[in-house]
Amino acid sequence: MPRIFGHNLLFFILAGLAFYIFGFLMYGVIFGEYWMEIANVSPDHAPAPWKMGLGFVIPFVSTAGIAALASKLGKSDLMGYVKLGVLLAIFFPIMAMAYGYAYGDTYNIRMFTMDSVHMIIGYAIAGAVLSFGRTTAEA
Amino acid sequence: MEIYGINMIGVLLAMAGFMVVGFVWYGPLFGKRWMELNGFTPESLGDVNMRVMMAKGLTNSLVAAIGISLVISWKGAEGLLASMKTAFFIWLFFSATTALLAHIYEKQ
Repeated sequence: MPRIFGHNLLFFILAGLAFYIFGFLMYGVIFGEYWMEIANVSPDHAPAPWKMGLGFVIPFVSTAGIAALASKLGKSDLMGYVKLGVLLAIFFPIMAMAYGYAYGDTYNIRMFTMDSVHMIIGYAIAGAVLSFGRTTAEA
Repeated sequence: MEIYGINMIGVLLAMAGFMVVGFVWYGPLFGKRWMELNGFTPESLGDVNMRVMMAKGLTNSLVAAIGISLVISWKGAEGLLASMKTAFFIWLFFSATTALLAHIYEKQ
């Protein structure tokens, strides 16, 4: 089985998919109405198909980043991966969003909080699934 | 002065560099364009508490600089080019992807 940054390809795909599905559940099934309200998005708003495709790819790019760093750092245990994911989420995606909160006019604290929770849990999930790919690759 | 293997003077300089680039980019270079894209007017910006805004921006830059410094330290990247390459990939894998998500789903 091919490897992505030292991780089993199957677990890399599962990690990206888990991140994507978590976002779908959070912004669609669980908090969909709340999110539309705070983000001022109408129910009939549908991004263009190419944008939806890009939205599907993005979790895999972030997962690749986690995999690359985990591999470089020699991570091998579940908690190490989860901690790495959480730290990366705090330092980079959340700080990127915080700029919108600091300087933007439309990005409110409720959206920032919801997006931050999504990133922390999403990165932790991606890291957790990746950790099994590392174990499998080394076995 | 090092904390967790990162040079705090380097971090503070990185934060200052971050702020200067942001100031030049969103000010003299593309300030008008940025205001237009956000629907800001000089009057609407007059209502903004600049001290609070700058404090938030400084905090963001500081945390991001600490994060980049930590990753550079973890990777053992040495020298200007290796550090810049690391920062670029951090932006690509984590920050750019986040900004894109907001653009796709939140009409930003």
